[in-house]
Amino acid sequence: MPLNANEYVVQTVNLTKVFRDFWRRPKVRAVDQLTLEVHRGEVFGLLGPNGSGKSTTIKLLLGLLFPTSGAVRVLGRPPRDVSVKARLGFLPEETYLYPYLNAAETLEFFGRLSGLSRPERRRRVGALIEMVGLGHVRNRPLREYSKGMARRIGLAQALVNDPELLLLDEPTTGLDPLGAREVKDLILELKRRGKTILLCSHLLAHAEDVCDRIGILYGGRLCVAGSVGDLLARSQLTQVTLPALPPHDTDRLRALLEGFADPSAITIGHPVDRLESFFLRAIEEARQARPATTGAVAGHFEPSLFRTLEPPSPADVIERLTHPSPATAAEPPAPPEQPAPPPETRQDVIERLAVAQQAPPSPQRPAEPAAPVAPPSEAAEADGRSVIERLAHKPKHGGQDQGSS
Amino acid sequence: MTAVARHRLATLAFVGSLVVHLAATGLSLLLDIPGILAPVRIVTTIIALPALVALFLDHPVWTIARNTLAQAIRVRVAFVIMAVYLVLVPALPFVVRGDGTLRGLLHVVIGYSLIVAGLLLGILTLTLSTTTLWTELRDKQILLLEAKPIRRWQILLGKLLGILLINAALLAFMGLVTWASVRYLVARAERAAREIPDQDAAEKRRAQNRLRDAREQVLSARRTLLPDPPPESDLEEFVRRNVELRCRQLERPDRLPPEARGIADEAVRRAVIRAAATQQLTEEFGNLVNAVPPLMGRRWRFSGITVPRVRELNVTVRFKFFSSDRKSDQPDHVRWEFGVPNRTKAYYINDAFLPDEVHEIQVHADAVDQDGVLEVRYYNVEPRRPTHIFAATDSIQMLVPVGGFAGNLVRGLALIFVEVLFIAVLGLFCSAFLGFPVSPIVALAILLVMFLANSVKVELEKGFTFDQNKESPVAQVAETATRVVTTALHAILPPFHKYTPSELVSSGEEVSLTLVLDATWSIALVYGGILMLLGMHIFERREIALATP
Repeated sequence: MPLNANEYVVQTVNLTKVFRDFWRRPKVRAVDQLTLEVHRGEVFGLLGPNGSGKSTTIKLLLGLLFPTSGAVRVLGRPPRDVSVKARLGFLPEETYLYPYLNAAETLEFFGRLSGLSRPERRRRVGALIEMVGLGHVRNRPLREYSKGMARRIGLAQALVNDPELLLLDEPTTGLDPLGAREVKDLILELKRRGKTILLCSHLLAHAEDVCDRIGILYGGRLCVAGSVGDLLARSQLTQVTLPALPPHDTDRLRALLEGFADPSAITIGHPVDRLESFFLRAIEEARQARPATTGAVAGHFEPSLFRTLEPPSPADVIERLTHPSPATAAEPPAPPEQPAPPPETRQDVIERLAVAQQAPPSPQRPAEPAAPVAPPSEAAEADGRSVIERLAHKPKHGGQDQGSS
Repeated sequence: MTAVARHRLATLAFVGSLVVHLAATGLSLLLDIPGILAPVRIVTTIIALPALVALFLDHPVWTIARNTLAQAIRVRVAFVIMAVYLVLVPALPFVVRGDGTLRGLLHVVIGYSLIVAGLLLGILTLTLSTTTLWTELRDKQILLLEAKPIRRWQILLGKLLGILLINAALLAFMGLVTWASVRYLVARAERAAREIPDQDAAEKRRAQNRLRDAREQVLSARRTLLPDPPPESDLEEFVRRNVELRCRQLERPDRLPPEARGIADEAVRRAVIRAAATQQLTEEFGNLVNAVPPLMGRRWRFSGITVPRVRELNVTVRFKFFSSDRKSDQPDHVRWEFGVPNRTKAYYINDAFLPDEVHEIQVHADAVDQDGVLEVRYYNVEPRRPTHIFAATDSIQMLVPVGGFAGNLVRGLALIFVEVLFIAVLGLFCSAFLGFPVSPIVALAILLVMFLANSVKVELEKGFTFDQNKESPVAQVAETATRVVTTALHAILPPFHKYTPSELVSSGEEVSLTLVLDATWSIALVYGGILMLLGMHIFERREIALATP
């Protein structure tokens, strides 16, 4: 297979990584015959359970690990090429920063390493700190930062050189729902600007929201890859989408449709298929095909170990609305007439929080990162976009990175 | 020129100059032509230095160095070292009395300050160099660095540069503290001398003498000269007079040299015996001229003395003799005479000196003649006292002032810096492929072996044996093995023992620029350069972030 630099920003061909023990005996096959192609300008989601080889793949793409066999090309070149690194941004799974530097110094440091000129650095560092909402704590050493704040600085450093390709490993971990939302908006905005983004995530809803294509890794192998729309479409069924019908129209429709298909196969309702269930199905199929796994096996939530707190607080509502975890989403959806949760919509909550944060942050908790800082809703988007506008000095699908030479 | 091409060219230039330098060193040793080393050194330095600058001052290297520096400052390790030094060194004059003289006090203070400086910086450097890379690997900042346009070897080089900058700053600080302590002690002694009332003239003169002694013997840079070897004609005369008698003695079967046994041809046998006799007599001559029995004398000649024309200056004759009576702890009366007959003023001194100790005599510089020659005569004046024995080498030296204390201190600090540089390179080299705490332990072990190898070699040369019974096979095997190992280690490890800044500066001996350059080449550039290149090579090819989270 030719390695085409123009078409693919990331390309691996039969990439295999075998970890060996001290005696050079093969121990773990972390990545197995992985052939992956990420096109220019798309958001590609690399999904998989723990230990499926996502992080190993990222490390191979960065040249931190060397392939046992197979080929890797990033931006058309071998991954350890310095010119590749100048056009690349990376956010690792956890944010690893220098605790003795402050936000500005951190970005300054990575900006210098990226070879940005002094005025360019000044401009981008200031704007990026504002963009990730850390302007008011820019001079505090990072050792005093919370996890979410560190995550935001991590994201800022990945963007410091205005990269063409972003490798984001779990970009929303440690962020509150608002922060996660901002990151998703940011990803979409960067995509609009022609950047290519490779995203690893466990949070399937996030992946579904932003990814054009996804690949699911299991046991180091790519078991499924394709566009989100194609993969989630269930082609054995036909779906006709209409505005909601009154009950008697539904009955008429059913009578009409019985001429086309077996009445028991006809469902009239509100069709929902989440990426999550698709993901679980894909993993189950892969498990049946290949029982061996290199990482963790699927666990089961044991409810008796945990108390259920009633009633759920508004924060829990946001959490469930914006952050559905596999465990909660697997439960049957709560009937809407259930009285316990206050009937607030997500927008209501966000607006309420936005009003609350107009007041200055309380001095007792200056390190609280996300909610008070993050500019929410439309205002935030407009704000964030204007910053992005200033930062991205390239036309859409822009070719060479001028900040890197 | 692209960055990659520039790096290749610079590395090639540096490695090339190292190879040329090593080849020249080897040739000069093998063919015994020390003259070729100096020009080669100049040329290779001209090539190697810009290459190093090109590698070090690269933008990413400099960025890493700044970060390393920021780390040392922010985690306050640099300040801790400064504070420790500030507590240890200025407090010393109040604790130590020395031998009661200002000279002794300054000797102790300077020596101790420099030893503490070297020790503190050595510990700091070993810690920094073995942990700085490891913490980045452990805390995984390396993942972020790796995603930026910087090569791994540049990370290592940046770390080295950062550590060197910290050390340079700390060394400058320590030098200032030492210098200030010395200034304070001298000023205090001067004040004390001034405050002695004029009527107590003897005491005032003694105080001023003590000050002068301190200035001349500690606060100066004095070059060491060895006496000229005794003229060849003396030896030839001695051998000619005695060889026939010695040959006749060696003819006796019980004294026949082993190499002459079993030779049938009479002419060959005679020639062999004569060669053995000549050798014995040559050795004996060396011993003979170094032994001074009672009522006998001995003469040395120093030449090539470039005395500063400031005639107030003194030159120093430093000597040490052994007594043939090993148990003697009495001082022996001797007479020293200085000056070239008929050419210069003559000075003499009659005094008693203890055997087995180093003594210094100040001689007015006008005892040296216009050609830079000084003759020294020595008489063992007391009858019925032991014979005085001078060791064949360095039992008598002459120290000629060539510079001041400040310059000597700076050059001494430069020597410490070179040693610290090697420790930094060693630490980074170990951490390029070893984790914590293995890398500091390995680095420390190498350093200890380096210092021990020389001591063991010295002991072996002094005739150390593992067993009183020299013939026992165990002793022989152990001795041979030790000899082989220490010789090998001595040959491959950097010659740290050749550079002793604290000893030199504290006894007012010159740390010459040649010595500093020699240390820079042999320790910093050759050993440091090779080790650093090796470390960079290993780190560049190493898989990092193996632990999958």
